[in-house]
Amino acid sequence: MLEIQTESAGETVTVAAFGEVDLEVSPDFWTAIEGAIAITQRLRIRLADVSYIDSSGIATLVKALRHAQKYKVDFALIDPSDQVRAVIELAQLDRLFKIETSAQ
Amino acid sequence: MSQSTHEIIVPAHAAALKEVRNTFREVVQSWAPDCAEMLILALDECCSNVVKYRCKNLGDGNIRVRAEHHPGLIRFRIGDFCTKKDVEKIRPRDLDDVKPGGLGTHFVKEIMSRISYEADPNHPEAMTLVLEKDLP
Repeated sequence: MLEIQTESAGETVTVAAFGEVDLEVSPDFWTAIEGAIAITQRLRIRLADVSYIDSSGIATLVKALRHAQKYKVDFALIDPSDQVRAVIELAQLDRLFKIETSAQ
Repeated sequence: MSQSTHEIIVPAHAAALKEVRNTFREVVQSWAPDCAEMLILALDECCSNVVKYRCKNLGDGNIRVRAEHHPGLIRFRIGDFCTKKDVEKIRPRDLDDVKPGGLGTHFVKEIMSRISYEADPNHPEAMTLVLEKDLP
């Protein structure tokens, strides 16, 4: 099960995911991100509480990045969990995404 | 030599993928704690492909998943899902191309030591995917 929370603070919208991102729930994750891209110029995806992500989840993040670039939205991932970071690195996409810590 | 085997049969639907992961996560963790999460990822990607490409996420078929632990080896067997023609179409992606297609296949090839397919002589169109991981 995946829980998604969207919060606004100033000019930044943060989409935070909690749980596991897989083939079943990736469409919901995309819907939340797509909606956020429509309302902000600065989007952060918080992945600290994602305990599992598969290729469909990574594909959703790639799609989100491309969509954000198209609409000139500043896009970054925040605090990816160890599993998420490992899968991003396995995909050799760590140089593609801007990855930040919440302290930044 | 000791051997341990676990097997489940689940509906070929995306909603069943979590059950596969949860069923095998603990047992694989006990066999290979250093690489358990990556092995579960490889297993999940293969089951996802069954759902997406063989059964079209209709839930009208089943996936049989078996995990075996042998000395120095973990083997997954993912049952009767793919025609030879389908298998030949499966290729990992070009990593210079960041489009998501083929990403799951890339993960499986990176994580596992060997991937093979076994035909069932009694069911010519049925094949079993066999994933093996050598353990140190």
